[in-house]
Amino acid sequence: MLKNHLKDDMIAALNLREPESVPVAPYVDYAYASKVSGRKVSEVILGSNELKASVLLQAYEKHHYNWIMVFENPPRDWQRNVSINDLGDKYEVRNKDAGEKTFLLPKDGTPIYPVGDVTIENAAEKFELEIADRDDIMRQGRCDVTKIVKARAGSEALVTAVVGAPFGEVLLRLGLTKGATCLYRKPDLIRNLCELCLRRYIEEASALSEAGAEAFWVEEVFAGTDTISPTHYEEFALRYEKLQIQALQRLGKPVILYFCGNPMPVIHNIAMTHADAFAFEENKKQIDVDLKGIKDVLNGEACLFGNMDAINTLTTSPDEIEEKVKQMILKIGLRGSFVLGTGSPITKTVQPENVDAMITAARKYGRTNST
Amino acid sequence: MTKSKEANLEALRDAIVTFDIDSIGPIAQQALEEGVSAYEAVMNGMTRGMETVGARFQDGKLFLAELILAGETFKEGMKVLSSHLKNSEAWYRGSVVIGTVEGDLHDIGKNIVASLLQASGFEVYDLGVDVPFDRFMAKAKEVSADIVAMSAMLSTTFPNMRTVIEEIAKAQVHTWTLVGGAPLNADSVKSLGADGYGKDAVEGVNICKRWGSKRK
Repeated sequence: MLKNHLKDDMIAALNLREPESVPVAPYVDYAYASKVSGRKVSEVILGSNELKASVLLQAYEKHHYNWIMVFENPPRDWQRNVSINDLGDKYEVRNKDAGEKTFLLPKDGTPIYPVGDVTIENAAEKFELEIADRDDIMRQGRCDVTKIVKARAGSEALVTAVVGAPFGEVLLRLGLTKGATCLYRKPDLIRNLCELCLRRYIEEASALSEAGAEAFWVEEVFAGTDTISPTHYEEFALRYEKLQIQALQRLGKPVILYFCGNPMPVIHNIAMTHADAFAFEENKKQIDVDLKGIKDVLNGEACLFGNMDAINTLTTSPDEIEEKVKQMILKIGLRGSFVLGTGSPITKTVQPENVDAMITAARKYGRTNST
Repeated sequence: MTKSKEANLEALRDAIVTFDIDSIGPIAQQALEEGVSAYEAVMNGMTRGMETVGARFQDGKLFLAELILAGETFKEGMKVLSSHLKNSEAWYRGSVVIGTVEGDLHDIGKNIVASLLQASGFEVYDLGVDVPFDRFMAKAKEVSADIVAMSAMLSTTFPNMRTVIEEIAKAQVHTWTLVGGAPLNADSVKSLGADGYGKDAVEGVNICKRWGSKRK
């Protein structure tokens, strides 16, 4: 495949046109990209922004999928403000000033960020402090990875920036127990925190856009109906999803809403966010994500990402992967508005030949003339 | 006006079912003052409420947030009642050593199960995350655990459950083994050799209740 078709096909699918072949957009973050580049994840997380961009680009060069996911990176001088303690098999990264915001970094695993690092009393103040305007974000170098990736591969692949969604961030930061309690006891606090988060994410997205992001991947991780009720979804998550998506679309970039957990009881509401595309987790936690049913609900008005099982399928064999890709494409992937993605990030246990098998199969069965 | 025993128990059940975390303490206190034993308040009041919540969760009428909130409400009630429970009373259902297996740092599911187990009368020894098999073994022996419960979120780590289960069998530690987590299903559980598999938190706790303190 010619490289210049990669991006064109992705844009075609997001714009509801029929691409030359089904684009492939796996969730590749530093976990898998580090492996492809022969480095440990911790080396990349603790490394420079140049190194972070480099491993994402190496993974792209290895596979030539149709997009490159980029992530807001820490400020250039972030290590001046933290202490990094070697705990043997992992590092503990602690903020020197505040002391309490710690994350653990397994030497060969993905970082574990704290859940419930704010209290009901201090959450609003902390969230307010975390809002930086676009120019500050750029000055701090928090979009350096995006800039580098865009400069080196932006002509070939769609550079797509990952951003959080307000409700998920609020629940993560409060922790599930405090968050669940506040849904009932302090709903105004949840709304206020979502508003603050929304402001923060819009500024961050604006900076990422200026740095070269060509699309946004908005991650809503705690709004599935395995976690909260449809009523709570509508009351707390949906409102901010809509506002965020509208704001990001005003930047002139397509928005993909990635929804974790069970979407089925609220799928009509999810569709009402009017994202340009929707992506869902693979079937797990007893959840049956019915992509065909979702495609029917979307009714050709938005693009759908296929949710190849990154946990169980991509760890099997190339032949099994080819068969799964074939089935998915034949069921829902032909005639445009479809991108073959993965339901969750590809782990470092996945063999690169399996990722190749997924991509090859998509291009074999997903060509316009393949039917 | 003094309420009847049944009215007090009903108030405790309702407080759990409506997640009334602010009122359950005073309701429990009133029940004690009006002659309801702490044991009855727990077993026939709050626990019945938890059973209702668990059943509604499994029917899809309640969600994880509500399950957590009911557990928190239960804990508030226990703050009043626990010191009044006599040692001889049958509130104690058994002991559980619980943890997320080695290599896996996910703890949301494990924490919910631990919390619900406590609310169901189990003594819970939570080993945290990234727990190597020998720590499960050592703790199970130390406390003569009735049950060892293991959680995993990753397909790459759930096979570590097998090591724990095999080592427990080899060492002839007579404890039930329960597994749960996103990558598991009935087939993978068979291959692990576990005694039980909770497809969600409530089912896991229900299995533990069936086993109770019966030695394996």
